[in-house]
Amino acid sequence: METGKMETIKAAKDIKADTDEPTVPEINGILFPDKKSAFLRQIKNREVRNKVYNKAKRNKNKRKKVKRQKREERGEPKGIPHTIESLRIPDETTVNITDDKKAETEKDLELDEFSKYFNRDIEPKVLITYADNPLRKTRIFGNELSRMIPNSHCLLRNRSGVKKVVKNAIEEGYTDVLIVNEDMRKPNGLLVIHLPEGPTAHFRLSNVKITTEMKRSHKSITTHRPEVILNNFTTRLGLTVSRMLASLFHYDPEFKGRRAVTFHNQRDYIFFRHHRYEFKNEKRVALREMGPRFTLKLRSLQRGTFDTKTGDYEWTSEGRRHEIETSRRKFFL
Amino acid sequence: MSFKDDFNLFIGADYGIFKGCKAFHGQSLVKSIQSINHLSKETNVTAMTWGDDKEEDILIGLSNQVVKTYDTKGKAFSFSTDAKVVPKDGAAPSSGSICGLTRFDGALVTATESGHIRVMRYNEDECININAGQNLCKMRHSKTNPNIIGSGGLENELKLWDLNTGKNTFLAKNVPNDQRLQTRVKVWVTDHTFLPNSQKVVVGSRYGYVRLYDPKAQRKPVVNINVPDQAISCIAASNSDDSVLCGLAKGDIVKFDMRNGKASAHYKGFYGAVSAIACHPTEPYIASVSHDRFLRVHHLTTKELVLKEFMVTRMNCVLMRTSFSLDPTIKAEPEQEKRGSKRVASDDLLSDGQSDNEDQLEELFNAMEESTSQVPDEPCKKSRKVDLNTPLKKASSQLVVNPFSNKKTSRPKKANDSVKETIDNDSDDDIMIVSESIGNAPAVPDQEGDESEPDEADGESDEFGDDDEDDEEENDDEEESDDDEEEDSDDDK
Repeated sequence: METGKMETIKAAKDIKADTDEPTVPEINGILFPDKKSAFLRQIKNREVRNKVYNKAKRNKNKRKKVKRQKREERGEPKGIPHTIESLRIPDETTVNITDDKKAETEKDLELDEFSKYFNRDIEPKVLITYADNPLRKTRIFGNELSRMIPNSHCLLRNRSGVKKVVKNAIEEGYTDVLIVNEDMRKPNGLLVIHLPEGPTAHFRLSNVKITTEMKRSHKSITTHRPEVILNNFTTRLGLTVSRMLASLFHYDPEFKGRRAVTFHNQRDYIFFRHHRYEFKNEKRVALREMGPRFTLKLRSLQRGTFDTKTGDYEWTSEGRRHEIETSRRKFFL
Repeated sequence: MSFKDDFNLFIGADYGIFKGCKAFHGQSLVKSIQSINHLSKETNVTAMTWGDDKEEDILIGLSNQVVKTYDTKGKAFSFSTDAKVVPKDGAAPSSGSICGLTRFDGALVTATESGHIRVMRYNEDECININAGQNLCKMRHSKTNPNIIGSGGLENELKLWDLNTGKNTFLAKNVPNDQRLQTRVKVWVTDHTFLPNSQKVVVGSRYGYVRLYDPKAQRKPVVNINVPDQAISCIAASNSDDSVLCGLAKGDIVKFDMRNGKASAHYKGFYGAVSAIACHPTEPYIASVSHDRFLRVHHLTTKELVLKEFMVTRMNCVLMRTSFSLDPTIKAEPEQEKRGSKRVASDDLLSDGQSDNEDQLEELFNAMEESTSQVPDEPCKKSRKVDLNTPLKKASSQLVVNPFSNKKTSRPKKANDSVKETIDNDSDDDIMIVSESIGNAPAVPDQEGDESEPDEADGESDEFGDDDEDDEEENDDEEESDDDEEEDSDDDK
């Protein structure tokens, strides 16, 4: 027993020498933080191991501090912190302003399904409906969406099929159909169909908070057309999705109402927020969140209107999440 | 005439975009041939084919029923014709986009979605009009029998036509009714292909089936493979005699062996629907374009993704030259090594010798615009096909094919399901599932591909290992704290 302990301590001493040296592995030109030494794992005695580990950690922090102080003395600027976003795996479809593919992308945007909206040839008219038999929260959520989106109507589906809804909506001159799906008494899916020729996007809907849950009242929400902020959509797919979301709202906001709705993309999750802003003075702006709030995650984007069985997908994660989600630093929007 | 330094892939896309591409290992040169000022919503490229066997001109069919001809020698669009059919007897004129194009005996053959197939000649009287039925999806030309074309569409069974007479030579028959519900099986022939060196036709459907028809034997399909919950958006014959490549509407390409009705390979890496596949007749490469705006080249036997290129627009058609080969000269890495290492080709692009290659590519790119007529002819390389001697497993007459399950199982004969293979009248046909012929026939080895997978996984874990270990560190800390608590509780006792 004694000898065993001696050995571990001896081993620990060896490791101590190891861990004192800064070991920062470099991968693809990016410095990754210290890894836990393999030797450390070999120490069976927990107390000794913790001791060695904590000491190594303290030393590391010390070194860091010295380094930082030296840098500050020299007056160098701060480095960019290593976050998942800053270390994002570069995507080849990123829409770049200084790209040789720029002209072609612009032409593509000029001719795509949303070009009519962005040329202001059509005014959006949105139909909001639900899965069959929506319960309280989903119904309220749909109503709140119709309060968000100008020129939108919230109707019950009365057990008609989506394809039939789409067909009739085209005849009635709607430009978009939103279908809120419900599971376990909570809204959990959002289908956005752009009319008349698609595309169709299916989002997973989560963290829905309706106005009452946020302790707000719908009475404070005015009927002015809101401004739409689309944040952080960088890839070609992201651009399509953002154009799709933008085309739900009227092109010209009424600035008098000081309403803003935000679709903020972060790590492929699209966060929706609704605010009223107020310019306090030249520097300060006050924001008041109005509700509802929810989060979207793209499941699939399909060409044409709703046809899950035989339609062509432009992008889908269905059935290939293991293939797609190879890294935490890979994003698609 | 050699096209060694010229484009070896041609791509037709939405809005009339027409591009040439010279593919190398892991990288490619892409150039737009059609000026982007002339694009419009009505001129989607919907059909593309070689004008002749020498591959000197390309026929491009647009959705506004105009056929353009691109001369690859002169590097210019030589002429365009309006393919609209207005019958004299007052019947409805052709509508929809062009869904099939070919050249027969010097005459242009066009097919439109409304079902009008027309053999266009100078003399009006010699023109042949064929009515192939509504909702046509595709018209294809047989290579072995140059006077035969095939057509098919939504609720429009496969039909074969003789171009000399304009008469129907074969009309396919649907499979029997669904056994459980006694309902008719719906028909949608999205794409079909003629198997090389035979009269057999393989049909793919958005309703999730692949069927093999033998016009010599019977009108009903000889082999029927059901692919549940998957829509087949395009189909192409592979260079081995009896397997076809099916592109799916949810992405991925599946190779079906038509002798036993099994999925023999699965080519991955897609995000969206595959819109067209081109397979080289001898070299083991398949090029595919998809709606996720990527051009991909896969290795046929190793299933490796050799090339992936973002093409900005959604593409509909792809053509591959017979002189296509992934030129190893531009690449520092030799061909043999490439097959051994299972890294994804796009990673290679980042790794080594990129700057050297760029110079070479630049030179090539500049040279490409000039005429290549002075380049001496070179004999075609021998095929790099792997010699495959693994025998196929004994096939049973009733098969359930689910290419997406890990185990590719054949169901015992007794099982009577809606999903089944129909082999009606067993004749002496060589494609029928006869175990003798299968035993000797060379087959695509599954093992090779299977072996490759673990290697790939290793590579990935190396690359992204740091993240995981960071996590571990955190977890370890937590564990330690937990352990401490436990220890405390022990002490209390």
